[in-house]
Amino acid sequence: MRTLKLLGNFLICLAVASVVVFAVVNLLPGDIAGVILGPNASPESVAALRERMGLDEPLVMRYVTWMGTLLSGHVPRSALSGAPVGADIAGRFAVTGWLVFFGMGVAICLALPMGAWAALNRHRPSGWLVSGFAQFGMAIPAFMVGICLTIIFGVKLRWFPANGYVEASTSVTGWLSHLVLPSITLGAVQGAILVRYVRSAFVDVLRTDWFRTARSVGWRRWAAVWRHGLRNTALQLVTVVGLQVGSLFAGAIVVESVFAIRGIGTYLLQNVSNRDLPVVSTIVLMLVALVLVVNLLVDLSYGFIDPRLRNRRRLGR
Amino acid sequence: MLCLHSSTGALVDRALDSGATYNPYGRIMRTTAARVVAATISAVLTVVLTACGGTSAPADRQLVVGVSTSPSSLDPTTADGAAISQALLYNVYETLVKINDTGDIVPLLAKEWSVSPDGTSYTFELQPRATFASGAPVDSHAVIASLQRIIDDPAVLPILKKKMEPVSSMTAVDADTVQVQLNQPSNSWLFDIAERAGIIMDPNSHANAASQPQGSGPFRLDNWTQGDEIKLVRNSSYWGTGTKLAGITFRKYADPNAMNAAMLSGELDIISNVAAPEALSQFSDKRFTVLEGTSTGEIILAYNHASPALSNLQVRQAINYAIDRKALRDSVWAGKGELIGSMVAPTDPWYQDLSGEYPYDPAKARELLAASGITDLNLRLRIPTLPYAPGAASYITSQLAEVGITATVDQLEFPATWVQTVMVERNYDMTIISHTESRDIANFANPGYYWNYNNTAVQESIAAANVAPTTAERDQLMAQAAKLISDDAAADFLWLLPNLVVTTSDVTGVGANAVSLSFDMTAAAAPPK
Repeated sequence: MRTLKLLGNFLICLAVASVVVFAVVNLLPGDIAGVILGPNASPESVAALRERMGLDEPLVMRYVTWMGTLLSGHVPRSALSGAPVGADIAGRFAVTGWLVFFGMGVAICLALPMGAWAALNRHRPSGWLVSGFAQFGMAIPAFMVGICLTIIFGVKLRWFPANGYVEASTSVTGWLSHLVLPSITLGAVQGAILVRYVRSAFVDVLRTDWFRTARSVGWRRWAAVWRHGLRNTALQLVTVVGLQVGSLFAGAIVVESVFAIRGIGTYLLQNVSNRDLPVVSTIVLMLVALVLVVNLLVDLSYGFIDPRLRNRRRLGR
Repeated sequence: MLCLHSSTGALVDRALDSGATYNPYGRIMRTTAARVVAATISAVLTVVLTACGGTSAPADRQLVVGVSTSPSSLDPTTADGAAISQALLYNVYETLVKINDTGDIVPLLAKEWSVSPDGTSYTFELQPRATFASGAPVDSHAVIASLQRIIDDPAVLPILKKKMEPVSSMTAVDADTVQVQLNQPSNSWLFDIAERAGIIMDPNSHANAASQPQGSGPFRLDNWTQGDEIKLVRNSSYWGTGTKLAGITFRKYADPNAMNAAMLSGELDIISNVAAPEALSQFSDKRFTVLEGTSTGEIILAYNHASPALSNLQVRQAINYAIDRKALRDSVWAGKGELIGSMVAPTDPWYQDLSGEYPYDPAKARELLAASGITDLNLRLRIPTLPYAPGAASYITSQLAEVGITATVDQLEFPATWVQTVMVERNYDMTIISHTESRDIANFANPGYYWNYNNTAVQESIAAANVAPTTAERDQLMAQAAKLISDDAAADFLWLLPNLVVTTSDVTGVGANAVSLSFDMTAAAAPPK
């Protein structure tokens, strides 16, 4: 029952989002006819091309056409080239997916120990230092981190490629090495944000009776944090991480530009710049769907993470 | 490799040991911690491994060229956008005649040509051995089919159709001879067909030209990843003297810093044009060669002559006097690029230096403005989001403020919003834009162009130049038109966009100038490695 309700919510959200996305995208000033004809356009040639491309149809009709294509299980063709873009979009989502995956990994690897440390030492200077460091990290724009990492590790030291991307099918080592700097860039800023959540989650745990009990029966401090703290903060952290997936994809757009990675972010920007509106609407809707799916999964995962929620129904509540 | 692998194993074992030694509190920590450490170490080692590549026999080079724009289609005749011609013209698609690095017309698919005494009939002798990459011959039928497509196909860009307007008929005299009959003499037509309007496509490829270009050049398309890169490889059956390169990859960088970083870290062989000249100093060491040449991109402060104040000659002249173009170029474009004074590039045969026509003179500007009777002048300066425009706009705004003109700057996204607002709707007073087409002075003779500039003297000069019997007379008439445009302050000609190419020092044969739309790599060479 709960699952069905969540699924219903998901579909309603998606339908509303499709209308909003389509409307907003079509509000963009400028159009594709001007892009194709370029700086040599004349008003007549632009008008003629607009008519040929069906851009003079009413907005509602264009929405119906777009939705019809999507509901029939197809990805709309590019208005610019007339070519199918489904494979392009899938390939680029995969690239950004890896970037977000590794970026999230970096963020979690940074945030868990730092947040836990800041919580345990919250009355000591070292804890304040970690919290302050995280605040500082949040204030640095991702592109600046990216440019600094590029100059230091890509250009001066040459430890990693400065930018670009290689498919894993071409070279696994090339693929990994190209992802190192972008993942750190994406993960560092997200990690700084995550530290605050981890810290407050751990602070809550440290104040509980059972944590005090664990300590009093002889568990060492870090061992108790590992065994009891981590598990009990998992619920809150999974929620936050789920919410952050959306902002990671948004951050990936910036990171992809700085590192010249052919992901969904650069593809989206390119199509916005070309005013290829069917493609732009489709990608944005897919991103919306992705964030909704992740949050749906987060909702569904509560039962697996927390036995108390799982057993609630069995206990008749 | 083997050695590194075994050491990875040893490190992992040690990590497992340490997990077991220091953390006696349970299974979770031991295994999890060990796994994390092991995974990290192997990830780092894999990355390090990329640094040590194997040695093999020297291979021909696939040169990677960094470019700042990427095409939306690969057909230069149906989509505008400099990126298409940049990659494909002369490299993949050939023309009867081509424009070389110094701006002269030289033979390509036509080994020679002759013009009838009245200037209305052109006879082209084709290279008898020329073939397309597919193996099909480049004969008179293929040539006529390509040129006829520009005239007939409704999808072809209007600007290219206009270039073919002088043609009345085309005849295949024999397999290797084409005769083109013009309605009237035209001094610009041969030049016009040296670029996009004159590309000769494989007759079987017309339908798929947007994604699969088939030409007769020394390179052919291998792979195109839209928005990312165009990979060309050597056409091994090229009819002429082929290239020694394995190929060229045009790779797009949206961010100029990313492009510079890629060049510095050795991932690029060539930067096609450095977008920010102040970045040039990074390439001053021995690893790089910097080529400074000219382009045909006149950066102009364009006036909308339909806007009431700007239809007044004194106001336009006042603005021209109010702007110190040398200081502007020095501050915005690091002193690179020539000052021109009219819509003529120094590589054009009728070039004359008109850069001294409106010396910086704010007092004179104020005088002219007072004489015009226009007070409280407020103009909309609507600029595109292109590298040179915002800096130039703020400089110009402050200089105009000194003589009492208020300019309000709007940045419009290029191309989508700028083209729509400025070129189509003409909803602007002034804009700053580089006109990159070669010999585009003819736009000043087109009252329908976005400047709304209608000067019959200029129109007559340019029309007369086009039908002038000798090139000397043509050049004299074109120079006269350029002077008229300058005297009339039809626009303020800020500076000529320089062509700043960076290559690694072992690359040769790349021209310094950009006088055609092509990034011509047909003569480029680099030692195999």
